[in-house]
Amino acid sequence: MRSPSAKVLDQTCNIFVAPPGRAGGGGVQFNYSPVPTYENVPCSIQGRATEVFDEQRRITEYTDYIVIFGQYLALSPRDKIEYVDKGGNLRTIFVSADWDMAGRGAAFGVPCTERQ
Amino acid sequence: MSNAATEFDLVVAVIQTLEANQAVTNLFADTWNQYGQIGTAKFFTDLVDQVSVPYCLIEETGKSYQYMTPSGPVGSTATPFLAPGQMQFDIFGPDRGTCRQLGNAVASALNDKPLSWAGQTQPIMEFRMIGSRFLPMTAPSGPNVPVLFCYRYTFEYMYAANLGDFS
Repeated sequence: MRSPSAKVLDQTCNIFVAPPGRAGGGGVQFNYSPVPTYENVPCSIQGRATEVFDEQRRITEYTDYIVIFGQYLALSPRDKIEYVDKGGNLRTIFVSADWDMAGRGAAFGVPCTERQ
Repeated sequence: MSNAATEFDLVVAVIQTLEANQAVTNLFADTWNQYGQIGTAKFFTDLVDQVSVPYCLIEETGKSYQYMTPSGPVGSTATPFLAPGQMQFDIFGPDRGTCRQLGNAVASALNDKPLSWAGQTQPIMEFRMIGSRFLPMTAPSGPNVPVLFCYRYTFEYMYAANLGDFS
């Protein structure tokens, strides 16, 4: 099965699966483990459109991402991905969906969003 | 032209009071130095900057002026007025418990405090919380948090002044 080469998947990230949870007061809560569910996963993190706008009365920098993996990880919305960008900054992004890029072999695209 | 360092008003006194309260600044991780313009500010009016949670949006939601009979001799311009108004504090955080804790800290720091500001002619008559509620979020996520929560405290205030002192 064809898969993106190591030249394409030249980045790594840590993935924290979001176990569903609920706070004592009834609020939605995700109890991320401090230890990544998947560590140093080879990937290609492709930032797309970035917009700066007023979101809920806060100046917010919103970026869409596609993260490409060479293996199926069964990710779900709210799963957290951390990676270090080329500037050495730790970035936190959240999974929006999980696509099996059918017909392209073992290539899985994961749309993500980041708010800064 | 005024800037943040020379602006005088009730909301300035409110922010100064909050940022002088160590319990509040510790909870919000607010390290802002207004005069040095350094650190991380967590209290903003009208629009919050790109700061991490938790943070607080303060809105002056309305104030009215209730005039009374001019005092002093006929022709005096010293028309007193009462200025009742409301101020809202929207506290954004990563979970309900944090929002409530921070909101209560803000309320504790401000309830019945003798807020004062430059140009004020009489002590403030009232500054007290009158309501609180959680707000539903239109976009669920926030900066580095999968779900964002917001707790709103509404305060009522009143002060007295003279029209002639109003500038």
